[in-house]
Amino acid sequence: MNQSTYDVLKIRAESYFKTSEVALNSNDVELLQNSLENMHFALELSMKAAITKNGGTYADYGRQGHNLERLILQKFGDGILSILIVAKRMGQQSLFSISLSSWSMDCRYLHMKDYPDMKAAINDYKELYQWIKSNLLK
Amino acid sequence: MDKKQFIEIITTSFNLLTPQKVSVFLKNDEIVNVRVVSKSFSGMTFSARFKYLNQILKDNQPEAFSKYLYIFEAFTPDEIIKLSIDDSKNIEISEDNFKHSAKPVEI
Repeated sequence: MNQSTYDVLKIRAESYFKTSEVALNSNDVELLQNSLENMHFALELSMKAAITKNGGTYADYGRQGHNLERLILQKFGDGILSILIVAKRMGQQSLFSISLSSWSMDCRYLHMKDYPDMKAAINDYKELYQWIKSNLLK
Repeated sequence: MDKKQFIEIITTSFNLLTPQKVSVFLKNDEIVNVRVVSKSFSGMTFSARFKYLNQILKDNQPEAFSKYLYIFEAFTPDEIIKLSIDDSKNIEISEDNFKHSAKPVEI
């Protein structure tokens, strides 16, 4: 495991998470969009940290590098595990399905125009980030 | 259960929503994309729609539910018309703007 890269990813993920929380209760839709984007980065980097911790690698370019669906499927370690497989073994399908649905790469812009939707998506992402942090980044 | 049977089971799970259309795509051995178009979603947030679809599948098809990760897309008929215009435009912008944004972290 490349400890330094793992540490940086984990710290950056938490930094994005804390930044997201600043505007979490804002009534301003634009601030809330920023909160959601930061929560996405927190989730993305936490997934990359989990993969790195287990000796895996991930796409680090363009659209693929930000694709959460791709990251949770990324095989690591001995090539039989992924974040998704670990989550399935722990009975977490619902958590992952709902959170990733919130950020479908193909229709997120349509979703993110409405205040209640933004709030709900942020909360779903927050829950998923905290699960990864507690279970995969210890 | 073959692929055709699986898709039929998933599709019929959402009959209570009287959908205009249900599309099921097996993206790979682990992820299934489900798009439901129904008037029933009017007035619901997207997050509430995802939770609703997730619960329907979990209650009606627990075996299929536990086997895959589902990515839901839920639209009203009016929204799906807008999506086909806005979405392609946004994807192009997204590709261009984020071309180098996922580079490895510098140590």
